[in-house]
Order: sequence, then structure tokens, then C-alpha cells
Amino acid sequence: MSNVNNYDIITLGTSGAGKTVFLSSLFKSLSIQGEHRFFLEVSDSKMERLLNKFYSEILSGGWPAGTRGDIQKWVFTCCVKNQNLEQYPACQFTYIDYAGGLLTDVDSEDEGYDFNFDQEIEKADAVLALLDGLKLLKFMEGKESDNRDVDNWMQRDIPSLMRRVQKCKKIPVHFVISKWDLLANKYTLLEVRNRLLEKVNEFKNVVKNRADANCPVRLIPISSIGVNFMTPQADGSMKKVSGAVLNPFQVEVPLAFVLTDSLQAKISQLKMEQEEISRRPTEIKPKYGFLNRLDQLLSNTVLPSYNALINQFLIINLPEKYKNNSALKELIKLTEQSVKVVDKKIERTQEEVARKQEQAAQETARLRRLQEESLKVVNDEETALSHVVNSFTHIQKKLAENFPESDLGGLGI
Amino acid sequence: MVNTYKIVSLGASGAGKTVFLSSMFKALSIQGDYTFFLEVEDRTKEKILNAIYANVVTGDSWPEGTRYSEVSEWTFTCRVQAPTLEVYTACRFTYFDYAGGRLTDSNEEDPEFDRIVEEATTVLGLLDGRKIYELMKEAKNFSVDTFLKKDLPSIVKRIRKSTVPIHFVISKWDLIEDEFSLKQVRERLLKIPEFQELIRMRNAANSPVRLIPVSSIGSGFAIPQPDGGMKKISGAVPRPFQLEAPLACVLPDGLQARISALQKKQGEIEKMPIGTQNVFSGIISVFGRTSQTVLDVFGALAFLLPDEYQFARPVVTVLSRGLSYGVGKHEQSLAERAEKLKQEREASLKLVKDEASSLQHAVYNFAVIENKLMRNFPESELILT
Repeated sequence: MSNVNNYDIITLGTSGAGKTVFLSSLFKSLSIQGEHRFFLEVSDSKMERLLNKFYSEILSGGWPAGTRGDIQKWVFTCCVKNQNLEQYPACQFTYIDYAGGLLTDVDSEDEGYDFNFDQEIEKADAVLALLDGLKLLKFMEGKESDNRDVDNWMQRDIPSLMRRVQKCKKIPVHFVISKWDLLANKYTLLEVRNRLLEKVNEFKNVVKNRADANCPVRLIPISSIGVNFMTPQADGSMKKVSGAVLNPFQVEVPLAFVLTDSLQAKISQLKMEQEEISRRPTEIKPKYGFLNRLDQLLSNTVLPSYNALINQFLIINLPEKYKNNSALKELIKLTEQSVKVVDKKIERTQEEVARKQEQAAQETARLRRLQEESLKVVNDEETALSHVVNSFTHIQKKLAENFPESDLGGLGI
Repeated sequence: MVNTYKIVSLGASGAGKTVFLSSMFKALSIQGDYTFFLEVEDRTKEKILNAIYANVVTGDSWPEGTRYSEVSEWTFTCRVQAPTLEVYTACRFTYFDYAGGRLTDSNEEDPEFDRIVEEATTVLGLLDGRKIYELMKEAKNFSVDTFLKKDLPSIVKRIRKSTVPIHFVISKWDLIEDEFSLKQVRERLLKIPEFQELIRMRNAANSPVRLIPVSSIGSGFAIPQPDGGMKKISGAVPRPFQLEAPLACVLPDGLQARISALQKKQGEIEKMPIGTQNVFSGIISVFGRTSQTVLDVFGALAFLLPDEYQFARPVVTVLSRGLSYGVGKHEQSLAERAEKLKQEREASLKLVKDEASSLQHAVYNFAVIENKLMRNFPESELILT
């Protein structure tokens, strides 16, 4: 596993809102690099099999059983392929899944696993608040027979959800409408948005507080199965349309909105690192101790001239009458010996210098190699992240074009 | 250290004490018109209140024997979200729910309970709006009888000895408001001797008593049916009505009552013959001699107040403006005050950066709410003339 950054994403949603279905559909849609220039990998093969199992259940017209028991953390790696078709991990995110009943049910079967929402939200990098499309449809239709469901949704589920969203600080938080296939042909996103803002005070207030704090807030419609895959039956159940194919709608969009900011921040950080690495000096000068330096100085300057001096003046230029002087001879001999010592010392010092210089050169080369390598690593990571961010930006643009009203920061609040 | 204010809630079984708390929580759990919000300290209790409110609206009954009937203490943390989205704690409110049956069925002395009341900042007396509606209609039936002979007297009896401020809350105001005004209801209630006597005693002690109408669902959500049930108006959304008012009056009234008690003590000491005074009384008479206004008394005697009333001076300034209990609360001055308070509140939100500043901001909200209550229901302040 690489050491790429991880981002924790919590999807807040009550029981049946479609958290797990969204997760498996997201994985299925993004597990192969296609239209988008990245793909997802699951770190754990057991989890991958489970996600595929969920997906097969959806394919055959059923739904995976509701999440029960312990909190599950699904770790996805967002990968890109480079031109040599080598796979490169850009980032990693952890999708935190839990039993939705924990959000609202007093006597939840999963009570023993109580999930500390506030603590998890405190740690999270991004939050998606899932609004159940089926409940939203009933809310929009306002049928007398559905009153109870709608009341429960508005008075119990939504307040509970919004109280958690209220706790989110300046991290990306967006609202996701699940099961958009149920609403798509009946209502526009603008109608849904206006109705929510008009009738659901908690929603309006939370959106307003975030918008006032200059935090972008979006209302993103998605469908994990796509339009025309299933049709709702009179009894409230869903029936698969014969021969229909799954065609997930906008499941990748929430991811693009919650991760882009963090990824962009990471890219800026990498750019700074690049500069820092490039600026870092790589040339190493040989290092000598004080005595070394003295020797070196002498060996380069004083000593050779002293040697020459002895040869030149004491021996060669001595007047003839002194050449037989034994005392002088002795002195010369001694001088010659000391010159030899000095010569040896010079030799040694010069060897030392050469050795140190060689070492420095090697070290310089090593550092240059390291610099190049780390630059490559950072460049690669930056390239990979930029790849993903470009894809995300493209996805964001598409949503803004198709659903301009998804931006809740603007009018109507 | 965050202050905790204790409220003892009293009401007959079925008067809807927990429903009241669930509706109050529903109204105040998200920061909106009022720039503070409440959190329930315990997650399970939060879910209980959340579910109870949903049941009020759907009309489902809460299953018998579930855990909520065992809950006797509810703690709400009052918090403020600054414009940066950072959240700061201002103070806490703990409601002690005094079991309905224990209140009405027992005649025995209860020193434990008296102690809790003595320590409380305010008492919340919950009156069942449906019974009051029938009383106003002059119905002669079991529920009116119960209200007059049991529900109200048992609340009064429990708190007449103390000087703790009282908030009488009339639930289900949506049932009453179309036919009767609060003034009419007040006049009718004051005809009940025990009730009148209680108000007289509290007035004498200069301890606030209020009569606050509330509704969990608000008007225009459901139409009462002859069988006692409710029929919902299609597409209507419940709008909890004035549920924030009792909570908002806790601090101002609690402080008023404490200050009044100090003033009273000061008066008593000044009348004492020399020689019977002790060091403590000396302090009060020296420091408090010329004290008249709340701010003056607070300035001089704050050190004698319990910890939870040790406010920073700006907080007392805000509180004291609304505390000239029973004097000069004319519509014009209230309207001017409302405008001023709103501006100051807005400015103070921008300054929220810690617990102290968030308490100050919350107090601005309380003052805004109290002022609004006084404008909409001047007769909610129970002062006998």
C-alpha cells in the first residue's frame, strides 16, 4: 500500500435512505477507468467480493439487506494509469458505513454498537447528508395516505440529520438526494429545493448558516440504479423492468464535490514540496578538521616552497668551502630527512584531500539522484492528483450545467 | 467552567412534561431565528425526545413501559455557533422531572423535594391546555374537576414555601387561542384561591411569576375533533409556538429572585437592633446600602450570589434592562428595546470566541425572547394590583 493521503467521508442517512446501495453503485461505476480518468480499488478483497455481491443483488432486482451491527469502514484507493499504463495511486478515501437506525431509533437492535456520530464527524474530512428520495417523493406528492411517513421523515429523520450536519465545521458538506429515478420524471430539482426550503425549517437554517459562513452547499440528485431500471408498485415495493440495464446516475458527483477541495490543498502542498526539493542544495564540499585544514594549507603552499628552498639554497647554492663541513653535512642530512618526512606528510595530506573530494563528489551525486527521485515521486503524485482533480472539476461543471439549482448558496434562502 | 441552571418541572401525569421538553428541543435544536441552539447531553435521551415529538405530530402513542418514563433528568447544553461555524458552550439547563403521580397522589411532606426546589433557578408548572379550555368553557366534567381539585393545588402546595420564580406554562394553546385570550384565562385562574394566594406571596417577595402559553404544533396544523382527537390539515407543517419563552426567562427571573432576596435581607438587617448584627450582615448593609437597581445591587453584592450567577458585568447589564420587574413595560419602550436588542445581539454574535462571549450572546437571545413575550402577552407577567 502506498502512503497516499486518506480522507474520511461520512454519509449521514437514516435507515433505508440507500447508503449501502449508493456505496456499491459508486464502486461499480468507478471501478474501471473509463469516461473518468481515474478508477477505484478496494483495499480488501473480501470487501470487494461483498460489494460485488450487493451489486448482483441490485442487478437481479433486489436490495442488499440493511446494514446491521458494527460500523464498517470501506477503504477505496483512487488510482490513475499513466501513459505506460502503470497504475498509480492518487489518494485514498474511507467511506464510513453504519446502521442508519442508529441515527434515530431509540431501541435500535444495534444499540450495542452505538456510533458516536459527533466524534466521527469531528474527525471526518467530508460529510454527505443523504435525503431519502422515496420519502422526498411522498413529501412532494403530499398525499393524505402518506401523511404518517412524511411526518416521521420531517419531524424525526430530518431534524436528527440536521443536528449532526450543524456540528460540521468548515469541511465540505453536501446534500445528496438518493433514488432520484423516482422523482426525475415528476419534479424538477428546483421544485424539490424550493419546497424543502419552504417547509423544512431545519434544512433551511442549516443551509443558511453554512452559506453565510461561505461554505459551498449543494443539493445533488443521484440514482444508484438509474431511471427505468425499476418501477414502483402500488404496494410501495419496486419491480425490476424486464431487460432493463443498470445505469447509475451521478453517483460519482458527490465524491467530486467533497474531495476536490482536500485534493487541491494537497496539490498546493506538493507544489511547495517540489520547490523546496529543487531549492535544496545538493553539492557537497569536502569537510576537513582544523589540523587537516592546516596540513592542507601547508601542503599546498608553505611546504613545497620550503622543500624547494632547501634544494635550491642549502645544497645547490652552498659555497664549495662549506661542502666538507661535517657539522653542516649533518645539518643538511637532518634537513633532508625532515624534508622527506614533510614530503611524506604532503603526500598523505594530498591523498586525504583527494579521498575527501571523491567522497564529496559521490555524496553530491547521491543527493542529486535522491532529489531527482523525490521530485519524480512528488511530480508523479501531483500528476496523479491533478488527473483526478481535473476529472472531478469536469464532473462538477457538468452538474452546474445540468442542475444550476443544485447550488444552495445562492437565491431562495 | 460552564454554569448549570436547574429547573424543576411539575405537572400532573399526562400534562405533557416530556412532550413539552421534546417540543422545546425541536424548536431550539438548530440555530435559526435565535442564534443559539440546544443539545441533549445524552444521545439516547436525544433520540427519545426526537421520537416523542414525531409521535406528537403523527398522533402515534408512545409504547407503554418504554424507558422514557424512567427518565427524570434532562440536561440541555445551550450552545452558540459563531459565524466561523465553530461552536461554543454558553450554559446548561437541567430539568428535573417530578413524577406526576408522586405530585398529585401524595400529601406527605417531602424534604428531599423541598431541597431540590430551593436549589432550583426556576420552577416550571405545566398546566394542561385541554383542561384549561374546558374550564374556560365552564364544562362540568371530570377533567375540570381534576384540574381544580388536584392538578393545580398539588403544584401550588409543593412550591408555596419557597421563593423560587415560577413559570406556569399552558400547553396546547392552539386549542384555546381562537376562543379565549390570555387575559381571560389569567382572570379565571386568579379566581382559584390557592393560585391567587401563591401569586400574592411571590409578588411580595418580588420573585417573578409568569403565565406562558405554548403549543407544540402551533395553530393551523390540526383541527380538534369532538371526540377529543385531532384532524390534521393537509400539507400543514407544525410550527412549535413560544416554546423558547420559558427557557429564555430562566436566567433573567432567577437573577431577579436572587437579587430580590438580597435586597430583602439588606432591609431586614438595617432594621435589626445594633448588637444582633454579625459580620455577614455588616457586609450586606455596608456594600448594599444605597443599592436600588439590579445592576447596583449586583455590583455591590455579586459576591454573595451562588456561582451560577457570577456573571461578567456586560451580561448583567443586558439582563438587568429587562429586570425592572413590573415597572415601565409599555409597548413603546418594549418596541424600542426590541430593536436595540436585535442590533446588539447581531453585533455580539460576531464576537463569539469562547464560553464567556457565547454566554453573553445567549443572554442577548434570552432578552430578545423575553421582550417578545412581554410585547405579545403583557398579561403573562403575573402581578396582582
